[in-house]
Amino acid sequence: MDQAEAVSQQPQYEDPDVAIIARVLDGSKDAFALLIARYSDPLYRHALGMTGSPDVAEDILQQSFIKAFQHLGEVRGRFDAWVFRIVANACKDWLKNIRRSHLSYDDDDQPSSLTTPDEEMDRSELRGDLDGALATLAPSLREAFVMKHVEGRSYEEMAVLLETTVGALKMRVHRAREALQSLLEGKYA
Amino acid sequence: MTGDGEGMKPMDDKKNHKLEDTSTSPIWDKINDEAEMLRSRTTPVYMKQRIMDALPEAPEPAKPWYKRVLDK
Repeated sequence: MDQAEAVSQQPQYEDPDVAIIARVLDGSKDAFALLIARYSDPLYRHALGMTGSPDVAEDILQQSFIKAFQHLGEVRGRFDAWVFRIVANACKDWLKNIRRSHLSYDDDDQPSSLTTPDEEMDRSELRGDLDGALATLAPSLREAFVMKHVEGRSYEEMAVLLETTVGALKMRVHRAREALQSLLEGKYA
Repeated sequence: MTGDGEGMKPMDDKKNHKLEDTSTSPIWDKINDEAEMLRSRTTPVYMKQRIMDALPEAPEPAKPWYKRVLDK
């Protein structure tokens, strides 16, 4: 068999994730790193937006990818939507269970573009206030707000990932905005 | 991420970052600024290796759909 014939007999996948999953299930554990590299950033941002804590976001990301690896043979449909739901559910479970004292982005170890101490202080205060206000929202409202306004997703994309309707999501975002506005406008308006 | 699927496109492709509402309240300008900063966050570099090190040897064998439903 020549090389062209061998290539033509390899399975062709429209979704490159399917090919990677097939490799992992065939015993190539290292191929899973490709899926981590491809999806860790948006998943991390979602966990960070939902929990407000880099440490918690890292733990949720790790546990979610482990769960995804263990159950990789059960993926039906798109991997990205499937793994997103694992992370989203973990975030909502954390929010339901935690009695938060004070968790914020304060342990941020990433460089800031702000230059003056005053700017840093103002931003830190806003982060604290915003995180506190988000913490008062029901997990489903916080999730919708974070996906729409922090992650910048379209309603259609959110509907696919959360398996719900655009109308329901618009309502959640609207209710979240109203709640945040009433909680924060006294201080910042 | 490369975001090949439709559901998780790269953030650069997004045209809808700003709050849709035309509210002029200064709080939304501040929240927009904060959201912009969060959108630039990336996974810490050590996470990929940390996750790979924590993975079990192999995925579990796939269960039939009815068994997954019963296990829930």
